[in-house]
Amino acid sequence: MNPVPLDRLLPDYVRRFEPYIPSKPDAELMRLYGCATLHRLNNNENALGPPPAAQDIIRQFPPPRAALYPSGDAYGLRQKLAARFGKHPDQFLVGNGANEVISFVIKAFCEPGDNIVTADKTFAVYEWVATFSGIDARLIPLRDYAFDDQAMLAAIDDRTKILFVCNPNNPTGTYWERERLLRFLDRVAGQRIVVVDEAYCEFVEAEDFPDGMNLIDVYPNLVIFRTFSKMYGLAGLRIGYLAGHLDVVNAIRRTCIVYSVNTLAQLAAEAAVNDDAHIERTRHLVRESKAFLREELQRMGLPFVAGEGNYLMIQLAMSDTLAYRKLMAQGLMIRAMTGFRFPNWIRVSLTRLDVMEAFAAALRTLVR
Amino acid sequence: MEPQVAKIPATRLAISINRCFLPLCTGFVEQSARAFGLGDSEALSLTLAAEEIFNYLADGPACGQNLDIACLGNTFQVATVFTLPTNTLNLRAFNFTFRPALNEDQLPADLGLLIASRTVDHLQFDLKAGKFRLTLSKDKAYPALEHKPLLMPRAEPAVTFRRPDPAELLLLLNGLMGLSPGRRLPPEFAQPGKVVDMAGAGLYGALIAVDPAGRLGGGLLWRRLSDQMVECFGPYLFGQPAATARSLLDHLLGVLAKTPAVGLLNRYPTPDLPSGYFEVLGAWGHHARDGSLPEIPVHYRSLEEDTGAVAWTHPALRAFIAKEYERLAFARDLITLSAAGERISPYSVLTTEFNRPAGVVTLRPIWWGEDAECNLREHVRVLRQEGLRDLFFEQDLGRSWQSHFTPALLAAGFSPMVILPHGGHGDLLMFEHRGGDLP
Repeated sequence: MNPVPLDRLLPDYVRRFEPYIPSKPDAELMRLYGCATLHRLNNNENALGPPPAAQDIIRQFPPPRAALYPSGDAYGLRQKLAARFGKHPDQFLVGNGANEVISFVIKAFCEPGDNIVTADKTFAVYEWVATFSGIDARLIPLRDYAFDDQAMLAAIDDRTKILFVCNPNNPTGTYWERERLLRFLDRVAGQRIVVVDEAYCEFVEAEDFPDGMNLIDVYPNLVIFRTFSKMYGLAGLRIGYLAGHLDVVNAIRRTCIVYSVNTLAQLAAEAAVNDDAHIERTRHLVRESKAFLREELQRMGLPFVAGEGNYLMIQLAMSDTLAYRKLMAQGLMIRAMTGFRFPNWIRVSLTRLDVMEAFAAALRTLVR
Repeated sequence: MEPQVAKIPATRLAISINRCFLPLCTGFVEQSARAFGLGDSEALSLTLAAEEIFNYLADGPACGQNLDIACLGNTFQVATVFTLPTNTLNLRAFNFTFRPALNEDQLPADLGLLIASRTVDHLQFDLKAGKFRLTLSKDKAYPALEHKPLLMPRAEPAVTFRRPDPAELLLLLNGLMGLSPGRRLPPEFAQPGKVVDMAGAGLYGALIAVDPAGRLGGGLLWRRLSDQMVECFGPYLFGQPAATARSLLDHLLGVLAKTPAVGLLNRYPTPDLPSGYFEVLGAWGHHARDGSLPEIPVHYRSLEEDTGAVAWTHPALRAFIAKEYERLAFARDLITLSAAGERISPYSVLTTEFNRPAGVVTLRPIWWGEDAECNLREHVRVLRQEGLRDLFFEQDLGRSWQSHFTPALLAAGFSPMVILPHGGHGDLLMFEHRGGDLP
């Protein structure tokens, strides 16, 4: 049989793109690394799980319903979101995780030759989707661990279609306060799409943190991303959404894949979206873990960046990929940051205190 | 982004392997070599090597086969590639040491591959997708670097890290000679013009550190060894603080992030190599011209979270390999090779990669057979006679059958030195030959 002529069939920008290999399942990793337990501190999941009402929905989901297609456009959830944020349901598009809505937006606005502008050290999926779609990703270095608004504005040219801002930034936890975001939007002057990814906004307690949802009416070029994977503990069900001005959302709808979000995810998200008590409990847990870990890291003399969000970054005096392997052998999975262009840094999810204690003990074995 | 490898201009010839086509082959190679810019002497050398190979093929293993000959014209080198299908080939004939059985009245045409290797700079075999490929490369002539230290203007601490233009890269390479004498550098660096041309072709990447006035404070070079492996050289500093070395490496790691590379190797560590960036995989010996055998540490850094792998081992090396994996904290499913009396080929086949300027030969197995020990010993004997000092054998731990070579390697004087994670299909176990009659 002749081999498939992949070199001829694949576009150059796809051929040169390196696929992302996710980590193996827990059982396989535990066997491989010889550890009896495994704590995942690499994906910033919520240790409390989904809110109680969402947990009830999951427990009570009738199996025969799995045979039926879900609502193709998450009708019920969009009603709930509209009520919560005071918008029209059609101002929301729901996707199979926020990753999918990134694709919707880039496909809607960009063609080869266009570019997006974002940071070099941020959530990688903006860059990935652009790159394997033949779109130039202009990566602006962070300044003081934060998105550099002036440099981003300076990078705009005629072919710039979208500016992606991760607020608060993953992995640094830095954020643009309201005034800075408004200045940025004013400078863009509605001429480009500005995406503000608020995947971790529910963790932020700072008074000056801007609520992007409230800015959509003033800035119709603004698109907000949110997710149920982090604060709402539904990462395993894959559900996220975008919100924007009706005209803009209607334009993005053309590239939106309907029926991509399963019924259970939609129902669980509907049950979760108004649970503010869950948010408060999670914030309390993160606050406590962050305080504990800060103290431990100071004691160990390790530099760290602890901004907003349920994670923090630690600088090591060793290769982060080596630290990954050594911590894995002790049953703790962290995120090595070389791939985020933060060599010798690791990112750690803030979770239950007992797990943080185990992590601190394991880290001590590496630094002594 | 990494440098893009430039498209290489090429000429091609398709013929049958028959002595009557020899002038066609040599004429094609010579004309192509000249057209690609080789000087008279180098073009003649490449042509002579091609003639030797063609005669060797016509006299023996591949007579009558179809043969594709391609000449590739890099800016710094011309390569001639012989490609032929393997389905009817006796691969044993491609052992470097193969001697065909001769009638008494025949002239010995043996060791033709070895003779060809003497006139070129690099010779390499590979076997892929049912095709056997033999590549002869001749480098263009470049003036050697003058061994006079270049006095670099004293730079302030660097503030800018960027790609050099050709003149700046030349300055960096010249400046390296002014650093501590006797420092071990890649042999190619002795011909800076060649490195500049290779960088222009996308085969080397480089970064420089520049002070506010534009003075060169240091630099770093790298080269892709395979899709998965990158080798870096440096960082080299000219009176800069240690932070400059860290910044150079941080920039390189940023360039390599989100590329297929999973490992970064550094076999030419410098005193400026910052701690904490690399792991030491082990060391191998370098047979220096003065007879000494300095140990060269092999520095490595994983660029990704390691997801584990299978590694095959012969029982004789299981303890060594397991200990190394434990020391390096690599999680591997170590499987011990077993034999159950299955039929074994009588002959083994090795490929040989020559790097004559560096005096290095790397042997790689392509077929396991009962004569492995004799075959290895014969390779060592011939290669030592050829004046080659550093002999390596690469065993791919991701390919089970390669572990069969282990007893033969140990008996022939090879020692396991370093495991290079993800260096091949799986991890590579590097053996080095020590002892014997060194040139």
